[in-house]
Amino acid sequence: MTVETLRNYVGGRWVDSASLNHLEVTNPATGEVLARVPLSTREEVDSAVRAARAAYPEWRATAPLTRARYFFRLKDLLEERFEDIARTLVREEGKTLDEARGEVRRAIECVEATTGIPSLMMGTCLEDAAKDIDTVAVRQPIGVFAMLAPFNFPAMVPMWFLPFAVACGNTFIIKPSEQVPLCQMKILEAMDEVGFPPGVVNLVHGARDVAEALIEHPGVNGISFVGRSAVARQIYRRAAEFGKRVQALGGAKNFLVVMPDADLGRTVPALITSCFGCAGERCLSGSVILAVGETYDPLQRRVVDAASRLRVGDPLDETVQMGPVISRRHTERVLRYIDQGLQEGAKLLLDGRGVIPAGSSNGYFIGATIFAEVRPEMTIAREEIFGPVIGIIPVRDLEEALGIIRANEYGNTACIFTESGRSAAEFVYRAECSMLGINVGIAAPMAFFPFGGIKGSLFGDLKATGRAAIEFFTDTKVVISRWR
Amino acid sequence: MELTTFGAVLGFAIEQERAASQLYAEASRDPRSGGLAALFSEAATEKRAHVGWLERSRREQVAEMILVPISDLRDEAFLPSPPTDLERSQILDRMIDREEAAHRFYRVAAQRIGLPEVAKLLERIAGRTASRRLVLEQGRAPFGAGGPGRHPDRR
Repeated sequence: MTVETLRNYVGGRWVDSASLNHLEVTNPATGEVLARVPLSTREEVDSAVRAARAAYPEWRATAPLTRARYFFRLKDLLEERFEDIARTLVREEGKTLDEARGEVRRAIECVEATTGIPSLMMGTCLEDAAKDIDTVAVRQPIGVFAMLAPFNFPAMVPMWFLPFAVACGNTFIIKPSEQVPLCQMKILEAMDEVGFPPGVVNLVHGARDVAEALIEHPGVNGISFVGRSAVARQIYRRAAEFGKRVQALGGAKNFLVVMPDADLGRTVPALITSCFGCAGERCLSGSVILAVGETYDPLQRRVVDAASRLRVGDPLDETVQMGPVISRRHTERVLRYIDQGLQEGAKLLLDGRGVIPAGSSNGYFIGATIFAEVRPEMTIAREEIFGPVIGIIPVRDLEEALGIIRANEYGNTACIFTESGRSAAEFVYRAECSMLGINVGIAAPMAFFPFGGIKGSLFGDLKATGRAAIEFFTDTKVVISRWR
Repeated sequence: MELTTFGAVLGFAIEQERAASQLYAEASRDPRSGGLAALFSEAATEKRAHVGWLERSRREQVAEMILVPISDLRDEAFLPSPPTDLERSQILDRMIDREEAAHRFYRVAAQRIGLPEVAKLLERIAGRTASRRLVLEQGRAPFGAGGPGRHPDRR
């Protein structure tokens, strides 16, 4: 069977890449090759930037309400194609069907949020800001923005940026993750059908070379990135050197604090979902459980029991609760962390190594893995694993839990499970993370709130989605007038 | 099969409603249905509506933050008998059995699903299957001769 070679979308047309270099897109559950993705050339990046620049003047002059109407139509098309996009996502990324549907839903919510752009973009004004002086602040689009997407949420993460940027009047270039470009192509197909003017949205396939070309290109005004912190830091520095706006969302090490008064009947399912949903490949995944006081023993028993019952397998099977990780290389990385945990003296309560679901011998599976007797200084308690591997640390009290969270280099999310409003309030006030959950295992802000962390989890100051996105994708121009 | 996920539960429900809709539609076109044709046609329309509600719920109410593994729910307990070439008098009984199985499924699934909005929808459909069953039972008396029973929800 012929494997399709993916095309770029530039200036409103699907075009073949001239590149002779390709990578294979594989189904991580089966190893099946789904497509070939070109590693596009610098000339092709330049062509996309030129198309975006050419489209910008007319698009920025299009009334915000008219721009919003494109997104109303896009929402309708994405609803129609919901199941197709979700299943494509399962095949290329390996998350379960429920998780894929949840992701597509979140992507559509971003589109829905941007249909309110006429209100979201409104500026402010003040008569008599000084004697006989009126002052108006308007939000204006800036130009061309580019987004470098990660592998773990190929439908949703690009939509944290694309609809906000474009609804604000900018034009846009997306570089999908070379590992998972397929569902983003389906979204671009929908945008093409909606009839966005040529050049307003563009897609260029590729890997590091394409990312660098976009960062260095003088025609690109801003870069949005989501991925590992080491790369985020590098992109932030590099894009700033080229005078660009940049928001680079990095990695995470997320702590889940379980207080002695927590209702374990409700807490344990939330922990399981947090830690093992999407095979732990979420920047909001719980990674370390901080069990406070006497909750340590019953909690670890119940977590191990629930995790050991998770059904691992090909995620196209609707009854499967956990799919594979993204690639063989990533599997090896996660397995190295398990080895390291053992070497450093953690106690392996549940071992996910060697899990091979029936009929999936070519897949990249790791079962839920749980370490106990973890200490904060251990590698598995400090570094981002990005897989279904967690540690449980016994702590004396909330104070100690907050200290461990504070000492960690990341600051994406943390959650507390408690029946005490006082503990929750203390946690909210003091936890040094930007997205907090109270009795919620995945503290994922919806499209109308900002998404992003602090410390080593965010390089830049403006986050994704919500008003932060409007700020990132616009300039505030202040006009000071004296006519009286 | 164990229905271990939100999608599996709703997928099973959608499958059953779709199959029921087809059966009712076929029965409504079967000349042997006599005076019950309108009743079957109405039931087919209702089942199609349920499919739409359930599909919409699957699209809109799945939010990754609240996915929780579902346990102790297997489809075998709620699977209706496979369709066979039934005698005229057996068709109605088979439909009533089907509604009974669906009613039990929705009641149990509503308790297991873990999402309040979806549980409400499943309870609502459970109520409608119970009503439908009553209407079908009323149809037993005039079977082959009288008109359709009246849906209790209808005004």
